[in-house]
Amino acid sequence: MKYSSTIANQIFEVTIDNTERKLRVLLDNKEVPVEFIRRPASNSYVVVMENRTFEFEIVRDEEAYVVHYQGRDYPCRVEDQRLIKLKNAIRQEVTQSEHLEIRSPMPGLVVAAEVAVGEKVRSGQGLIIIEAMKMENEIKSPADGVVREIKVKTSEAVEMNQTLIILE
Amino acid sequence: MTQLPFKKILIANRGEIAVRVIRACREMGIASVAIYTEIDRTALHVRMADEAYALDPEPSADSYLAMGKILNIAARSGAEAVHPGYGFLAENGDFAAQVNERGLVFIGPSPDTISLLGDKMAARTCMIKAGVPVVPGLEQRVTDIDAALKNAGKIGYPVLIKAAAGGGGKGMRLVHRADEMEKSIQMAMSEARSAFGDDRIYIEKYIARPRHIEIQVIADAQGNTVHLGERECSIQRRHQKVIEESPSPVVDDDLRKKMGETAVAAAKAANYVNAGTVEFLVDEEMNYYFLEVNTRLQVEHPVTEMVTGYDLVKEQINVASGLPLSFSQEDIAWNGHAIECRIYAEDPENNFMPSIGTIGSYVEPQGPGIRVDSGQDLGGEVSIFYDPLISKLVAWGRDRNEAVSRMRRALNEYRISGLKTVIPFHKAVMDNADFNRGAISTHFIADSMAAEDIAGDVDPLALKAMSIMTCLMDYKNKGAASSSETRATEIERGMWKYCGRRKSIGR
Repeated sequence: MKYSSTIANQIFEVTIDNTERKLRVLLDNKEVPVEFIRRPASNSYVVVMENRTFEFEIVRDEEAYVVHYQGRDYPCRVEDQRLIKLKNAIRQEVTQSEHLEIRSPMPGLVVAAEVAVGEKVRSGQGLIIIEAMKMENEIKSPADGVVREIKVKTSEAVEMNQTLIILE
Repeated sequence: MTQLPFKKILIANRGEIAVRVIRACREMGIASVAIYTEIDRTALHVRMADEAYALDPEPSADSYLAMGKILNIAARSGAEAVHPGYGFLAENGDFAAQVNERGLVFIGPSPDTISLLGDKMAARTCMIKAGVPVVPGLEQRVTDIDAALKNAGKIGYPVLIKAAAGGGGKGMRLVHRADEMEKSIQMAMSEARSAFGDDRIYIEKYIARPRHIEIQVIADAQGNTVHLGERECSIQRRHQKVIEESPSPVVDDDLRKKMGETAVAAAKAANYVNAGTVEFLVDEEMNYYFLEVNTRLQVEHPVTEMVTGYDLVKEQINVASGLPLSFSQEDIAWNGHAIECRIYAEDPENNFMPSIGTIGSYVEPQGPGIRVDSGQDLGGEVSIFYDPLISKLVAWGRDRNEAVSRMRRALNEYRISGLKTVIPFHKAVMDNADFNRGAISTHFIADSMAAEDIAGDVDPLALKAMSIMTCLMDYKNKGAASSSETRATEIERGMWKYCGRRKSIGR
């Protein structure tokens, strides 16, 4: 099985071959001896590669695996190459109607929307302020776009992942 | 047998500080009483205490701030004293008074002292009378330009014009020269009028790159007041401390003695008994100015404990019971250097936004010179209701360099997953050149850090290992569902055996 895996803006081609009841791993078409084991009752994996040891905590996020290593999180997108081809075909059709849902990263209270419907926004611009733990947090736009819809009202309580604003 | 100061203490708090007080109680043989809300029912402080009593649901006003309910629990449990920790009711003179009225002991200063020092203007007046230096200028209200110029000339430029009703930087103007004064005053007044409906303004000396340095004091009822040296708390985000250390990299023995004596004078002027902290702003010429007194145990008290060897919570309890301090000023000797990193559940790459969730894995660092004061562990929940502080990581070394290298090492060992923490930020600070030179101020993050610093460098081999491991997981997950080619159990068991066999064949 061929995979393409994206971490920290780098793409790795990984092939996993389990024929002949033997597991072989190829990284960028070169076989790599790698040892690994999952620690019991945990999400912790110990990996030995080129005589270096790594301990990773890996959890499955909505669309990626998140690897926790030495205090940092590394989101890692793994794509089966057959799927990539399929997706590319579909993507071409949907790009026209693409829109972006801005979701709340936490439960909290809407303090104020900083933009209005129809307003042009730039990447990094503040969209809405959510209060949680007595602190006001500004939700910023991840991309340039236009505000199509504001789905929440001032002083409304929101859940985590609730859609706040739709950009297009 | 020595007599116990108290038989039982109620801790009117939660999280790491409740755990800290419980530990002191246990060492002293005093029973501890915890209080908790629904969400905290399995929290560490509840599990560690000898007794625990439920409060009403989460919002703080109905739970950890509900004085009447807490006092009733204290009475029911038979506690003789109440330790407020920090935050919540710790600096509420009314609560301290109510504890006393119930015939219980409040572990902290008297209600009068708390109220006096809680009122900014009253505290300032009290300090000026005691000869404590304050930021020059604040008490002069500006009514006309001539008076303003005269005042500013006396204080020395640059000066800051501030709205009396101020806040949020509105009505604030920085003035470098006398000829800028008239225009700046007009602008500040009109801004203040439109923002607050009040155009009263003040002039204050502008301190360009202040350090925040504070002095720990403790006093007993017998009249002994002792200082335990300084803590430098200049590294702040959102005007809140994130890293503290003792000693300060810029305070020498002479300045320590001078600031210590000032802090003792400040405490005496307020009839202070128990542990407290006198906060100062320090300018680039090492002039220091009184900021405020925190009438409680500070979050960052462990760094002082690490370099002096004294247990501040145990001393607090003894002093509150009427016992004298176990040490005098001459006994205090400072040894080595200690740094504290506050481990908040916040995303340092996203403006320190709080990160809410359940702690999925939790491994604390260990080894030489490391102390972790934690209120959380595996499965713990960081909610919207309370402060997102998970723990405080403290490193001690013989000198600052050793403390920094231990902190860097411990931050790498600390594993907290399931939510974002400020650990990557702390790692970047420990590697920061300005921090390592001790060249810090309260503007450190803006002046000395770049956004990329927090992301840090990644070991290229680690990235390769991650990419392989995640693909193997995906292979296993999908394979278990469909493909016949896959042997999920083999993946799960790992490849130790396979690799071993391969090696022996290759030989």
